[in-house]
Amino acid sequence: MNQQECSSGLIKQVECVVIGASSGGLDVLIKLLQALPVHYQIPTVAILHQRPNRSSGVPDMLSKYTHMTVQEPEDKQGIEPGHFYVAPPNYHLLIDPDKVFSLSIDAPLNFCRPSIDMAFQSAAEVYREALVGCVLTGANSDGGQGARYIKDYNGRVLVQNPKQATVDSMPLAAIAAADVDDILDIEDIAKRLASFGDPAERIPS
Amino acid sequence: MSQDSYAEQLNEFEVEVECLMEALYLRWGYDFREYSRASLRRRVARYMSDNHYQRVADLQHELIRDKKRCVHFVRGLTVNVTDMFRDPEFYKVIREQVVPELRSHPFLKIWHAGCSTGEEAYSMAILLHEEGLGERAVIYATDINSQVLEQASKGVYHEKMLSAARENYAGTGGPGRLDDFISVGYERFLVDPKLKKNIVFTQHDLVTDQVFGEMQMVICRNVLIYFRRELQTKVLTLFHDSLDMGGFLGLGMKESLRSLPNHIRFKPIDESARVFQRID
Repeated sequence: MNQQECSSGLIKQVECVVIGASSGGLDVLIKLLQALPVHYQIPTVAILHQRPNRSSGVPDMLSKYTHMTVQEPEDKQGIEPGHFYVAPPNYHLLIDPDKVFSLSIDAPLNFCRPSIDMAFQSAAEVYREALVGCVLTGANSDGGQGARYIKDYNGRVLVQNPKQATVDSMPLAAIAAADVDDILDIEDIAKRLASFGDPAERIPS
Repeated sequence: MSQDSYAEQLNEFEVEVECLMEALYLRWGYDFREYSRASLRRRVARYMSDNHYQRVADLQHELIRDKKRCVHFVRGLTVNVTDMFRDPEFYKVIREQVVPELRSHPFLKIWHAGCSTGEEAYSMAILLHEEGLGERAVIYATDINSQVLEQASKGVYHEKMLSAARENYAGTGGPGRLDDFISVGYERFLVDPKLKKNIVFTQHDLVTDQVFGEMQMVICRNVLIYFRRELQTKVLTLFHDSLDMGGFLGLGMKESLRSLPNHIRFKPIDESARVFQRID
């Protein structure tokens, strides 16, 4: 299965990928970026739990492993193809209906800011069935509710194989909370994401 | 209906939130219509679950009839997280790059818009006091919400916020200690009452209310992020018109003017600390 069919029989093109990662997440994001095609176009938004420092250095670090433009989005910045966005530390990252980022300093949700659940929910409301969410390694349950939201809006959810994850609680929480589409090693998640970006795969059935 | 046109549609909750915002504006003049939708919807949903409302229609019915309930709701929509000397590097830039220019003014007016529970207004008062400008400065600290202003005017905060406050202060380049300006007891800390003499707490809605005139500095931290770009642009004009030529504007650490058409009326003083100066 490369693409899930929508109820109308049309295959919906993937417009955005959201990724949630916590403990061990940086290494996995690096692996993912290394395995994605050189000119991967689908905008990808990573919610990585980090220490609440002002400047994380994560985008600079990740950009060494990809040709995508890696950046922390600014408030009200538009979402563009070929970009890999990383949520800024200590802010929630939301997506507004006009497909721009919106930051928030609301209280942490389940001790997390940025909250994966919050980001996934806002993305699901905007992109609906054109959204893919990935829940990767992490030591809490953030992302579980978010995965359920994505499924409620007919999007797709891929989860990192808990046996492969540095810490398995986040993948397990997502599997428990939502009827996820697939549980895969990170290399296979990259292949699946690549297939969504491949024009040959987008032809309606 | 095709999937594409379905995807353009708002779901029931989203439509109800739009109606609710229209109703609040028509009935009480609270205007949230140009607020960023993702976080606005979250807050409405959270308010409903905290206050046991099943349907937006029930909430709307009550808010239209009951002003007190509406004020409570507005507080739920706008309550923010703040802290003494939040983002110490911001205060360091104020101390090192803005204060020297402020010294040339015989009298200082500073507007802190969206001050919430007031921690940062007191932080600025402490900084000005340390720099010898306390006596000639007035800080107008405003918020849309009268309840948070009441809390702000008391200047009493929970002790659990104190360690973060002390840590933040240490990063601002201050010459003294935070404890010189507070007294601690009964699981609370109280800011020195002498600081309050220079702060005027008053209600102001950035969306519907007017300019505060002839300010030397406007501080508005992490408020614009809750607005759509059009409203951000309008509020930036309000700040511009409230500032003297050469006056300063301080925003939150991840807030940018770059995407706003009127940003060219300001020049960055410190790009990463988000401190700007009015240049036309």
